[in-house]
Amino acid sequence: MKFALILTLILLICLLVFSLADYLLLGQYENIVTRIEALPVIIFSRDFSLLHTLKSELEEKPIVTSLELEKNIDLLSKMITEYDLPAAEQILDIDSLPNMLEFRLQGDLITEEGFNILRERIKSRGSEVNLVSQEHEFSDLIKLKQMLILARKAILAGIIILLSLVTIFTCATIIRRSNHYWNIYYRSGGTRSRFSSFLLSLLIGTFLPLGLLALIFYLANNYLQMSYKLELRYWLLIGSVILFPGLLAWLITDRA
Amino acid sequence: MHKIPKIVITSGKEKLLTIQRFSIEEGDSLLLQSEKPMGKTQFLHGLYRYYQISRKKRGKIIEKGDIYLWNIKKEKLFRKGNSEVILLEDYPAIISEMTVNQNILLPMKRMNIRLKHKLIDYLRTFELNMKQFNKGGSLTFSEKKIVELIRAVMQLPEIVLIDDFDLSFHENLHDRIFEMLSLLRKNGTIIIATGKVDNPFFSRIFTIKGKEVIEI
Repeated sequence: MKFALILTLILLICLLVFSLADYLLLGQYENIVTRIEALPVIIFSRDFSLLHTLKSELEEKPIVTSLELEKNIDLLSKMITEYDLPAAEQILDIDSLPNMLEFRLQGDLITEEGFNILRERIKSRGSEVNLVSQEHEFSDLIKLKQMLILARKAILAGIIILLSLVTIFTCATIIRRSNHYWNIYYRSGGTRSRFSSFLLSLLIGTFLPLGLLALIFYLANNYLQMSYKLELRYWLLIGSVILFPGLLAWLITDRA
Repeated sequence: MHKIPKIVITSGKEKLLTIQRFSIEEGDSLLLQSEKPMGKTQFLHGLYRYYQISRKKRGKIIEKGDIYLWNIKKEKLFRKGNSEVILLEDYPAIISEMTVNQNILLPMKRMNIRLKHKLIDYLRTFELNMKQFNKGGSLTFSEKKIVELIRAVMQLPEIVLIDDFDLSFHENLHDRIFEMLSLLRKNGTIIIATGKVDNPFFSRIFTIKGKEVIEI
């Protein structure tokens, strides 16, 4: 049991540091995603049916959201109402005004390459189509997003290596240091399996820090207004990163 | 009845000791007297290894090339739930950081009131009741051996093997120890010891002649 508690404490510290770094990165990531999603992409064209076809095509793409198609006449009446320009109705030629298709992009799905392909496909529809988007800002935000994803992966890789090494060395040290205890235990007539005891401690040492961490985040989310999402696949990965090196340590450590 | 097969203890190719086949009844007490210190310890280790291996049902197993065991039968020798064979070697197997109580209760799977009373009785018999919460490391050699013996007795094992009985326990304690071991024998436990002890407690005496263990 002492072994399980030592392992729990060490792993809990490692996981807390990792989770805090992950939380800060996720915060930045969410901010970038929101900024990308706030930027509109607008297509102007006099050919309404072309815009309608484009809308149908774009609707099928998962990275495109909030598609809005507006006719020139609607645009004109909106402008007149919004800016109080009743005289403009007589001056402006309705046919000279373009129709408009406005949409936004899914911030967490869009990549720089995906954005370029989309832009090229729209432009390839001919000179009738005029695309207006804040390209530089899009490009910068997407690059920043990719960097954050890369940083998160690097931190995850680091924590996997760190946790594996910490688990192997902690388990190996504890196994070697408990050799004397088990030697005397068996000599005194004990029949409990050492491996079962180790496995039980390892399982406690795996699930207890993860459980405690989940509790810490649950409390932080509820009482400190944090919004850390517990991603199950990361937790399973971290659980296996503790469990398997622990078993490896059992195999490679001298238990004489 | 326990049938012990022929056991040959070797070191490399050299035969160190041969234990011929013999049988033991439940409640028997055996003593091996010999001038050779190595032979006595090898005798106990041979028996201990035999029981360990037959318990695990592994058949013919060579333990680090030192002890060869022949003709092992997969017999159901032991009572269910109890520790089977306990070897008390010539140095005490005590964990220094644990208290006397913890050391005694170390191999026990469950603890109940009856066992607690038994433990206090045994400690009182050997005037160790005042030291039950002392660390194992603070005890004298003789006290450590007593703690080890109490731990063995409390488990009611099939067989207790005691190495160097006379050196392990002070002569003043022999009467109390034999009294405790007699209760154990009544429960069917076999006591096998080595050493220079002259006491009617031991019903069968063995000795080492040449490189063979024979019964006198």
